[in-house]
Amino acid sequence: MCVPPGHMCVSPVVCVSPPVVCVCPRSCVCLPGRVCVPGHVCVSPSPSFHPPRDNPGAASSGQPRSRPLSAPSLFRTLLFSPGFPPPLPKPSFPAVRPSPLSLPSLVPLFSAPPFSPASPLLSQTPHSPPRCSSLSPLPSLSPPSPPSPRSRPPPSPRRCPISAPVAGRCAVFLFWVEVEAGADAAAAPGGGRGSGSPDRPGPRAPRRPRAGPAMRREMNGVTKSRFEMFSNNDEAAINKKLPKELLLRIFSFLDVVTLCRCAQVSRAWNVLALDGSNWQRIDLFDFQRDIEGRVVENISKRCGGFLRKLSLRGCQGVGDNALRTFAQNCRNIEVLNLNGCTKITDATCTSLSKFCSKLRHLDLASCTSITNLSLKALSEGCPLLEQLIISWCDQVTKDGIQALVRGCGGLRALSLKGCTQLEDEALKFIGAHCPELVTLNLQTCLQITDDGLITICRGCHKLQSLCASGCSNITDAILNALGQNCPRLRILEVARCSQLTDVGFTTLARNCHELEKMDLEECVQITDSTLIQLSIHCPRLQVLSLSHCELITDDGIRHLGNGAYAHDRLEVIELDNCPLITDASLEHLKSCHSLERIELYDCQQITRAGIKRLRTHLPNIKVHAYFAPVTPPPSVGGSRQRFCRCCIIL
Amino acid sequence: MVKMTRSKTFQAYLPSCHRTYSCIHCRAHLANHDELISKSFQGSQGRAYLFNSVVNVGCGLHAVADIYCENCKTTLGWKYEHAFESSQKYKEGKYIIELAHMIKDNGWD
Repeated sequence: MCVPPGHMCVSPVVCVSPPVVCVCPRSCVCLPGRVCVPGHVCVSPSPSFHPPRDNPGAASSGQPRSRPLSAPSLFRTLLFSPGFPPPLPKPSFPAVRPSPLSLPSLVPLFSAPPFSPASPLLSQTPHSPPRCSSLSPLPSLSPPSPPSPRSRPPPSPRRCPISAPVAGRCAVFLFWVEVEAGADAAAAPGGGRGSGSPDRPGPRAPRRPRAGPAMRREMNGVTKSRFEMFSNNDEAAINKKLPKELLLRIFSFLDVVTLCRCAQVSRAWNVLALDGSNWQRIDLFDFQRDIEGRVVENISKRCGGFLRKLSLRGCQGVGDNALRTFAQNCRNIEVLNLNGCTKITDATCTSLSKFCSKLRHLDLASCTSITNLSLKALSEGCPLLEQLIISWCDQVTKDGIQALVRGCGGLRALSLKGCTQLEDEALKFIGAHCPELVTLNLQTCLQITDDGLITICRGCHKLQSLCASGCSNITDAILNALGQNCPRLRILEVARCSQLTDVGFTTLARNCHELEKMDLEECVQITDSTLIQLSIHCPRLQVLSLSHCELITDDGIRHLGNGAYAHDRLEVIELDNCPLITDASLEHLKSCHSLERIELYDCQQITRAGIKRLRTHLPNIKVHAYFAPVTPPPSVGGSRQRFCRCCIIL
Repeated sequence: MVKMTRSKTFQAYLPSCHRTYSCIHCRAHLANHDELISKSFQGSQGRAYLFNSVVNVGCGLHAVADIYCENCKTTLGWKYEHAFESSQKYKEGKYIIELAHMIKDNGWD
């Protein structure tokens, strides 16, 4: 007796089906607990899938089907796999590009009967909805002239990919078109077999599983018939009606788990789901505890050059060795997120620099073992680097920055949050070599002073986002420099920079008309004058934080609220800890129709009545305020005291 | 039956909305800005914030209990288990974290 219908050993990532005894009469190589070989397909028990037995010597001894285990997690299976097949060889068949989508084929899709799942696995609700990516054209898989599949004659079985010399170990990615050619040719005669309905009762006696080299020969022997099965009339309606291109396109939106489940559905879906074009981006953030080095290595071997984006955010178990293997295998990686991978050292960056020259985005936040050596390596090997995040890598000094910017002149975004050893010298290097810089984050780089930032402004005219929160040494000179050099500035965070005054902000506002978000928390010297300037010169202001700006009064808010564009633009305003603000400010803001959120906690003069009045004008506004409950007088008569102790987010 | 894969992270991560506060020592998420009640508390090391609820935080066992970051075990502040005065009752069950141990992230870039 065979494994449950639809059981499919999934490659390239993992066999997600429970390791059961697979006793298919022919070609099954499943052994209990074994992770299946890529490309291997367990024949479903539905008799229509069984090829006619040509081996009379097949064992008839029964083998009890082992109790299916609860499906292990995706990656736990990988962890327990006894050994992993060697890396896949390069396919020797030209990768055929799918033919362009044809609109008429959409019509039968909507008129087709609903697809009835053959496998109980399919009835599970997916863990997360398929992540939709922006529609992008299917990648070109280095095609020769792509023939339309429907016009091709069915391929001779010898050309079928699985019969290639390394049986069962080819990259199955690229061969779906050949497979489907046979299917289409046979789809026409059609017929009413439906999906998997057992028309001929087949033998259900369990068979002894085979092992060793005999399996491959078996596979070779039955490959022919198996691929003929593609063309038989039992193909599910969905596969008949839905062109392969559309299916591939649908699969391209799915996440890893859903994709593996799709690959278990049927042979046709297995080949499509495992097509390399679907394995270009992987996010393992949700599987942190399961991700060991071995898992990353396995994935890299499977996806090979197809993998473009990988996120290992928070995967604390991943170390240098695994990433070295990964870098060797996935040389086309462009976006790599190693945020929180605390075991990583300079060796990883050396590997990336050696093998992954196409790297564009790299996130190494909280990888505290990273030193200047990493930056030197990256500058040599990854010249296309556009975005680098080394937040909290506090061993980095100006030498590393110098090396980095010399090699990576195209840097657009640089995050140096918490790199406390950096001082003005480092910024001077950045200013000198990074003309394309758009985003710069220097939060809590305490040694920074005006000089360094001014050099940056003078060198980086395209700067749009600057965060210098916590750099308490900076003065109005910075704001002047920004005004003079960076007209495209949109986002400015200068929280806790208490030396900034109205003068600086006036210059800034008069020159930077694109300002959208400003965090001025604890800029205690600014007054209503700044608000007046902002309301006149910055029509795009969306978010403004004036927390702890103790000199701000209702008058400043009046100007802000009456600004020509504030009615449509202002979305968030934070007035918490501004002791002079009263309900009058709320009146001034009532005509700002876009206002989504207002912060009023710790404002002693704001009353509930004032907020209520504001809500009559802005019913959808979120008011973040808290009114400590009035202490009730001690009750006379011994009844229990009642306390209102709720935090009121009104 | 296939088990639905649950998130298997080492620590709690807050959904990115508006603003988050994290432990400055290890960057573990601590609280969402929405849970902030007041900024006008004082601790031994300066200003402290009062939060309605926090994540990745463990606590000791007293009427005023020290709280620490689950990830790096640094003491962050304290929590009112029990208030002895009726005027202080509103603080019960809420957390106070000192600003010296926190880093805020606007999430703007």
